[in-house]
Amino acid sequence: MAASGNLLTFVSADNVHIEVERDVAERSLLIKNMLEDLGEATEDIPIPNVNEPVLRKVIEWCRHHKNDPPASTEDEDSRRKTTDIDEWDQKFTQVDQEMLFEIILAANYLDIKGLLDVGCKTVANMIKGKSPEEIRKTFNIQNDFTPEEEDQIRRENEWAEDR
Amino acid sequence: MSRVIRGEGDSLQQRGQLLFRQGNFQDALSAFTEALHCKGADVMSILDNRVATYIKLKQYDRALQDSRQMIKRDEKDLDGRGVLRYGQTLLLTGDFKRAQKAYGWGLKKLPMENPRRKTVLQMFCKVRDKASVKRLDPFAVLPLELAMMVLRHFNFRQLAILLRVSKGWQRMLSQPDLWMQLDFTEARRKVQWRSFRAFVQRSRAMLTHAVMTNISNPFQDKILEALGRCPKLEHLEIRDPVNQPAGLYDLFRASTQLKSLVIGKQTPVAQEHIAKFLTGLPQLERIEIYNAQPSPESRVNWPSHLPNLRSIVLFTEASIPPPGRVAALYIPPATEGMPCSMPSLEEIRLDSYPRVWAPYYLSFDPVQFPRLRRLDLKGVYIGLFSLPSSLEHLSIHAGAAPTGNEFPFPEDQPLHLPNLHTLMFRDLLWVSYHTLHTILVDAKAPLRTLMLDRCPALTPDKLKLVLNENSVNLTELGVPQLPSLNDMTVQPLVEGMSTLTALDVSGTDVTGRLLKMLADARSSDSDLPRIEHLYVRNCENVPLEAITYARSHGLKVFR
Repeated sequence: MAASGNLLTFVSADNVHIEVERDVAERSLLIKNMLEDLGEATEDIPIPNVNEPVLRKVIEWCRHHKNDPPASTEDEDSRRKTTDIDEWDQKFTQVDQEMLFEIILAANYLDIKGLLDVGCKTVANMIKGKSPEEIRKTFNIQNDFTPEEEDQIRRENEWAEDR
Repeated sequence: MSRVIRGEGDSLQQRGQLLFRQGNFQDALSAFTEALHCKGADVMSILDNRVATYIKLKQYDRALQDSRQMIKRDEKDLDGRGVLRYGQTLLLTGDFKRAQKAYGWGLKKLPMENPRRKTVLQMFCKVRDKASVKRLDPFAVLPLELAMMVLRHFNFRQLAILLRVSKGWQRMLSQPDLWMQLDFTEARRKVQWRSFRAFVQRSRAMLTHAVMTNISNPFQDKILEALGRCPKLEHLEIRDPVNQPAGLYDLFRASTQLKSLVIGKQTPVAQEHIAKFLTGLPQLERIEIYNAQPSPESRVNWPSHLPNLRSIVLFTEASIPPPGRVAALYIPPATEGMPCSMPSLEEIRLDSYPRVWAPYYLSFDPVQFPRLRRLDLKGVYIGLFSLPSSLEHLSIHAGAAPTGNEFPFPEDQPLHLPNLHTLMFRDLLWVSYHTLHTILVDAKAPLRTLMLDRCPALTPDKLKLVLNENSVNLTELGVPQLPSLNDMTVQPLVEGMSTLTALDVSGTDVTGRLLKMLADARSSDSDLPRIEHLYVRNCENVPLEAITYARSHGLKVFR
């Protein structure tokens, strides 16, 4: 299945062929650099590690954001602590936890900075404002501290906790 | 005879139900158990009650036993209650898988017309949806590099809370990089020594930032002393009142990497100590003292050369000292031998608000600093110093000036302000058409932000006139309490200001009409600017409906 014109073909890890417009695919710096190195892509592009459902979600994000200006690094620091996510992205990230983490891993592998940011912010928002117990419930984490260890950390952290 | 016994079972069950409602589950249990032994009892109904009681008593194994018994009867009666109780109990024990299976079995068995089938179906869907949401520890799935990207969104306090989740999280949070910025701003309780020590250890004592506030007072000396031994400290902010202000300098004399020092309002710092800090900490780029105090000495020794200093912020409420003493806001003047001791200085903010009010006379001339970009003066006597052409931001608040002078800066040399983009005049009687004309037209200031707050010598007409004389592209305009500003006069004032996005008309006579006009202008081709931020504080003639209307048109209104 050779790609023609402005259409490329991604092959997911589970061997599904997905057609993508070139400008959408180029939101991924990995793909962009690869295309620049190869010139015209004439063959299928394998995307190992990323399964079809995840790859489709990633492409959906790239398509929506294909006209975004390139990310600036200047105001990085001022944005660090804020976790505002625009409305479309918020809806986009309303998926189950496994899918969300897969999207983050894929965005990292494909080098899609905007998507990686949105994913990390979403995880941060799932954690923020919760007590340790609520965090454990949210992510099904075992409290493996002994009562003595827990007591010590609790005392060190008294200043930080609500209540 | 059997009827009577049946009646006995009924009344026992009713008694049990009453006890249950009263919260007396133990006695309710006995009543139900007894009722079951009565001949001809309604076993299904009593069992149903008993399961509910076992559940309340958290005796889940018993509850499961009873509900299994109900299901056995179900197969004959096709009732549905048994499967619902069985599922409910399983859910409470956390066994979602078996609960889902049980509800699925119920759906297969129960005929369509059974009234409880709908409930079973609802429960089945609920459990199925819940089961499909896999819960995963993000930091077990994401590699460290990505985990760190997530954690970058957390401030110091939020990070501290995560330490308590699990050993795995604690291990991941052991990276010293995460703990370089100690900041107790959001502390919910006073910080004790053990907490401070724990967090300094997390950074391996290499922390670079420290915001000292909410420290438990008995530990303050010990904590500040320990902080003074952190060799990489670059930014120190002390907001708590310091027990021994005079000793503060000695605690941090070894912090030679310090680039910025902020001491809050609650700790007085005398001029000679300001000089000492500057002498002992040569890397300082920024010093902010919010409670500066005059010195009893006749002179203080600021270093003769401060090549790194970029910003000085001094606030005081101390009275102006008599001549011969060093004032709280002292900055050394240029001398013949040393024309510029601070070649990198970009920002000066001086705020004088003495209890017995008198204007403060600057000890220096701003023109001596060739890189000065920002100058903020409050309570200062204007009239003896000039403005450097490097200025980008000028703010003058109250103070005093020679009477009758509408431009109280020396005019012996032509003024050039080719970089000035922000101008703020507050509480000034002398600001007039002539003042603005000199700055905008003669000195050619390319203003983008203009704030004229309580300047009674100005009117909308005069302001319009001067703004027309120089084609400035204002993005922000503030005219709070401008005399005779109303709907009629504000329109010609802002008309044609195509770049304007923020307008402050607080304390004026504008009405709801202005809000409607500006709101409508956002979606039409009028000469009015497309305002995004509108300030109408203390505008008595602006009704709430007008604000609601404006907001519904995307205007951000502040009242």
